[in-house]
Amino acid sequence: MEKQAAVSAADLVFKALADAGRRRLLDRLRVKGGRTLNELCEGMSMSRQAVTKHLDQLVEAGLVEIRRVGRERLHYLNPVPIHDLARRWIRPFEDARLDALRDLKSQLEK
Amino acid sequence: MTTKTKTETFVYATYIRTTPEKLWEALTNGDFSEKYWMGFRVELEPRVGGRIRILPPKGSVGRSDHGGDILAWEKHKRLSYTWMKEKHETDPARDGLSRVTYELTPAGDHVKLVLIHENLSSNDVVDDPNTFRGINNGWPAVLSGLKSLLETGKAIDFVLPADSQNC
Repeated sequence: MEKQAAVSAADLVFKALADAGRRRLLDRLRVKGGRTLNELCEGMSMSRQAVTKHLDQLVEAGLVEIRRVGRERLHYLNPVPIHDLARRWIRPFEDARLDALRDLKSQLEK
Repeated sequence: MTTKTKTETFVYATYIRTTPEKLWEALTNGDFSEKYWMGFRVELEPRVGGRIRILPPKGSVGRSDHGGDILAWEKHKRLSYTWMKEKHETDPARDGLSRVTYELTPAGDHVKLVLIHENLSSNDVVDDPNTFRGINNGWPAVLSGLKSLLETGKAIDFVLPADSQNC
């Protein structure tokens, strides 16, 4: 039961990250947090409705936190699920030899 | 010289399978904090206006008390305090101290912990994911360790880079 819950929480994060539009929203919140829906709609090539839907999915996955300040609903990036994901799914697979290979690739492609 | 800097707020949230009482204990007790907060020890006077000390591990060089004054004390619900009073009060680049707030909300068999760090200046923020330096990088690791300790009883080992004095 515990395992099941852990899996579905990670699933939500992976699904939320699997869309370029949602990743763009996260990137924008990383650069500057505390934005309103209106601010987030600016510069996005999608409808307000689509942005709202993407934000709902990001909130459900725990990647975006909403704080109410006065009348405003401010959106913040929550990096904790990504940190957990990195700890579970990236760091164990990291390898110094792969870093060397990447450095070699970037040197050769200069 | 006073440079008015634009302040930033960071918000971190995590669900921990525990009770508000146990989580509160872990956040406010030094024996607990040493296990998930990279050896830092929390000591506090449990009241508004009391002092909170977040002391670096013994033998660490160049690190100061990370705590300050307690601004809000609602047992098992909400704790707010000023951050790094000792170090930042004398920093001319700062407009006042930053504030850290923990909010605990029961959610089924979990507790949602939200950590808000407000009034941060650009000096506090490091845009490098490969380090624990800088406030924006340190908190996820601390919360991750806290969650792991409360849910499994085991702390995570951290390997700190040698120059991580500002952590």
